[in-house]
Amino acid sequence: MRFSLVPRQAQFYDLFAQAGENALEAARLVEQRFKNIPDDKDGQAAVTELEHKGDDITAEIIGLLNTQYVTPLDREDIYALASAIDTVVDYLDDASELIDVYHIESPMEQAIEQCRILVGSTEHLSNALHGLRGLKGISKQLVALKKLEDEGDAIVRDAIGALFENDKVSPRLIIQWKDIFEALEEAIDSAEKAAHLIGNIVVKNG
Amino acid sequence: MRILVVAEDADRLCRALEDGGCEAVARTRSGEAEHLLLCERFDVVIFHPRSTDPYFLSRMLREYPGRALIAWLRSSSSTRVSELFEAGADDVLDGTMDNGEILARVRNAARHGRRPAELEFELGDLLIASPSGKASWCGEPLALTRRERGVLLALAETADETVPREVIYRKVWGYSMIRGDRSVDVYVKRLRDKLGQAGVELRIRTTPGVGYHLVPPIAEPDEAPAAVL
Repeated sequence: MRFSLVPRQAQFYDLFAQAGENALEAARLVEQRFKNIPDDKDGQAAVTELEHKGDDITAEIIGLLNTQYVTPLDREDIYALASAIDTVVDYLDDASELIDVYHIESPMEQAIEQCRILVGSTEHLSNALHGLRGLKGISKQLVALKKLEDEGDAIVRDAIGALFENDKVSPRLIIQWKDIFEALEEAIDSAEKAAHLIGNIVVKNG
Repeated sequence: MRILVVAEDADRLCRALEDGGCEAVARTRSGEAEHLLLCERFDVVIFHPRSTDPYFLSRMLREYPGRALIAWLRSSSSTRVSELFEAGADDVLDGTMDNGEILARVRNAARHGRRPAELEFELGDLLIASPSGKASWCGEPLALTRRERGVLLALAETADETVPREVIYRKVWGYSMIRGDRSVDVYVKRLRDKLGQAGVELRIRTTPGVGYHLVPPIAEPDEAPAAVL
């Protein structure tokens, strides 16, 4: 592998912006899937495609990192941020896949709420990633994302609590929905983790 | 004869059945028993109501209509026995019966089983044989799934009155509904579509925040009233 002495800094920013847009698109698709249960039978293929696209963008960022002598941000920050955005899409894909794996027949209001949080979070994440180049307008996006994550915490607590409110519910449903609520929560947490990393980048480079 | 016994401490009962030439398989939990029923054939299910959940009997009636269901009480009261018969049990055994009587009752229940006519329901031109049977409108069969028929039956039983989502869920799915579960809404939507396509003159109205009610068609008088001059 050869280091390039000609800086290709703009490419990092473009790839991060693409990764953010990809995560947002995935979140919107997953939200539609959860809203349209049980009618959305073929939607998972599109989500998986976005997950693969996210992997490709992450690989491209890491490839670029390995070939660039000069990078616009600290190497470890670039690596950690690319991985965190990738994880958001991975968890979105996991949660969406469980709809098919568990043969879910009907939606659950709390899961639709979690998807709303995810769409909002990835929208703010995408905006923040677009702002990386000039480090402008990022703070308000991060504050809004954090607020949504707090709301997401309350929703998942309520959702899991609802599964155990009554001891006469189907144990099968408890297992299925607990897994789904947790996968969606992991996606929300990963978006927050990415936001933290962006916050650190702003402090270091601002 | 193969008998599934769903009860804790059922050794004496199982021995009595086996001494009488039956094959008895014991399970302590209703979930395990239901799993076994999916995999193996049993002629009779004997259950101890305290070992099973409250909806076990209704689930058994709906899911396994061909099998005799016998409740087993360690000590019985006439009220409890009446409740079990009302709920659909084919017989009720209790701890005071000797082995001979237990065997005779089990064989009798296995011979007679349940009467499917009890599960037939009629509302005007709508006929629902049972959630596991058939439904028709004006004699024309309706292509409904078992759960769609169950939801329709739950609404038709108390036509023109709102049935809460939780009640519909309990009757059709046999479990308590988890808060936030949209299963009933999904099935009502499907039912509305199918009834509409089949030209059924019944409407399912939403009672916001509560549930649904079935609106039967307004009966038209046979003849127009004579004009009063």
